[in-house]
Amino acid sequence: MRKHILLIDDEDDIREVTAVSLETTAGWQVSSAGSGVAGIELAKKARPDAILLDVMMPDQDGPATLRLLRKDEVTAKIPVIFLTAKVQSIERERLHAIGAAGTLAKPFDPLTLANEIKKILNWQ
Amino acid sequence: MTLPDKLSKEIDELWCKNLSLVYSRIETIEDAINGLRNDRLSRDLRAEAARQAHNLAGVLGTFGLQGGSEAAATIEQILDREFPFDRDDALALDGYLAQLRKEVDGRGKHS
Repeated sequence: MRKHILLIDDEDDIREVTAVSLETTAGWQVSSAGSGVAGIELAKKARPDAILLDVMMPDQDGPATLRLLRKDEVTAKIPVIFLTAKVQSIERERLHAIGAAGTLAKPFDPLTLANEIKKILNWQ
Repeated sequence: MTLPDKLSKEIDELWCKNLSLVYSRIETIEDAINGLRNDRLSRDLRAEAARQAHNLAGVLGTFGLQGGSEAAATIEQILDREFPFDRDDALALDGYLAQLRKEVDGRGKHS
């Protein structure tokens, strides 16, 4: 079954390059939203297999968005992977503690991004 | 066409499509550095320039410009500092921005 990824990031170019990367290398369906609020609404409707969530976004940031996703029973169990420029272990631990399945560093390699996601989510 | 070649071609197309946005971000940082040099850097412009540097740090490396990404991350760190700036900071920012622009110009010509 084709996987469906929801990407929530406020940067247009990052959304585009991520979508191209995952569609081309893994054949996954990718939906995207430019804000946490829009991303939560899309997650409720589309119920993706996983969410890639930017940490630093204006207004409602990634951690705040994750907390709201976890409060809604429709989205509570969707695995969320954070995209972050801050990859220090203390930051990874902080994000894991609030419910992230994992973290991926920005910038990333478009050729290997899908494999990194598969490793985190134990997808074969 | 192999998978890496296909991906590379699609990413090149995205680069060309988004190049004006990249230059717009660079211009915001340039405005902030000019403001700093003239003692007219507002808090808002400084925050906006730091945000644009953060965006460039994430975007440029994904398009294969690792050096540009690192320069942008350093610019962000400098602009995010709390203590007052001085002339040396403006010179340092100038240097990192020149490095960043050189990489962007170089990739622009090859896409």
